[in-house]
Amino acid sequence: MTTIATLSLSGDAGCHVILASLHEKLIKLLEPHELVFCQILKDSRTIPDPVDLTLVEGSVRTEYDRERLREARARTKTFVAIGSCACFGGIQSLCNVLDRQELMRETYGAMAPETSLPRGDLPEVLPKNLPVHEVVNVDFSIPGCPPESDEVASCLQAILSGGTPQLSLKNVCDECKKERKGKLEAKIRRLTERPTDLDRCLLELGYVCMGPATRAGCQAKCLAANVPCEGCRGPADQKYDQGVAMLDALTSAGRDAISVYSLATMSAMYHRYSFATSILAKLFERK
Amino acid sequence: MGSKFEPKVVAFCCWWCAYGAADLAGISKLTYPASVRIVRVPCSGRIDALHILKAFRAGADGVIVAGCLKDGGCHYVDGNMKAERRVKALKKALDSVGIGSERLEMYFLSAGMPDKFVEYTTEFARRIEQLGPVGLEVKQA
Repeated sequence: MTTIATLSLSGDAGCHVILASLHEKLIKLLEPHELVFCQILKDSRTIPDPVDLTLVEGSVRTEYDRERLREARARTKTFVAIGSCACFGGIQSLCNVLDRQELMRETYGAMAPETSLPRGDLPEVLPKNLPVHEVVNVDFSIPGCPPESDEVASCLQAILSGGTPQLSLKNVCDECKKERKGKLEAKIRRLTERPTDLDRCLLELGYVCMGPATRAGCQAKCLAANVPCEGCRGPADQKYDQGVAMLDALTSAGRDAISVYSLATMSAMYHRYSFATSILAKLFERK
Repeated sequence: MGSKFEPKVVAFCCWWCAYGAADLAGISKLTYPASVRIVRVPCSGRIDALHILKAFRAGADGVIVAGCLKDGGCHYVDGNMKAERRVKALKKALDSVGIGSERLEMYFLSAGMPDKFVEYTTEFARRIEQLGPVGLEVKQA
């Protein structure tokens, strides 16, 4: 029997919802095992000691998150980061371009307290939003926002039987059904403009589609609905920097228009989910 | 260590032209600044944005990308043009992360231009010397 805990840090609990959306599969998967700690299902406040497997979702934003994470890691044998927040910092990492004071002003405007951040009973906000692996060691990562339920099931199956979960090493373009003609249209289009040809590759039509730099495994669902890939599954290979790889792809394909790069606006386009792990963010921190 | 700042400049040179020029400069006994460290690559189009950013992360104060001459000089048809677009985009990115676009430059050379190679590298190294250290040296994870 394996004891399983799930931990939720800064995030939206969407990865827990994905766990729940496994339905009957989850019952079958967990039948020989025991869920010992799960805040959305069980009424317990302390993480038991020891735990065999912990699934952690969400990023590290506050001191409380960090403490919780360290505590869980110390009590766990196998530690799995689930979802893009835990793996790469997630969308909320885009706030790393601002420091905490600037962030307060940006969020609350004139209502922001002049001198300090909220204190007292609230946990302190960390200077940067961090992915889980920058705080503790992680054994496996299952990326995605949210991860595919089938993938979660197969990965859990593999981990519970003592194996290594297999993630796709291809990129989203390999699974995309759209036709590529090898010709780029000169104009860059916004998401609000309707594609002129619904069967054509959206990157060629001038949308910024993150397909070439994003890990496959989602069956290119967004593209099947004619929406450009946002890159929620992170880089196809952990060694690559997703946004920088995209910059490379666009420039070698012949796009001049991205020479208007600015960190504040373009990070949301190229590094929407992986900004905290980006080399540009690391360089920016040292400014 | 002396008190004088000695910049670290990484020069990515393509095999066919820029590296040839550097080689010829050596054979012709021309001198170029010792701060320039040459990395030979098959083609300037091979230089990813990540290579350049990693050079800065590892402590480079300036990066040169040197390829073949424009208008058909490239041994691989358009590798140097790809590199130029990449460098243009990256210059903006470097500005926005606070390193500064003047620390990255692209030059076009042919294998028979050792004097140009010396001129470009000397000028670039002097520029970086004036700018001072980039102060981005961090421990590798």
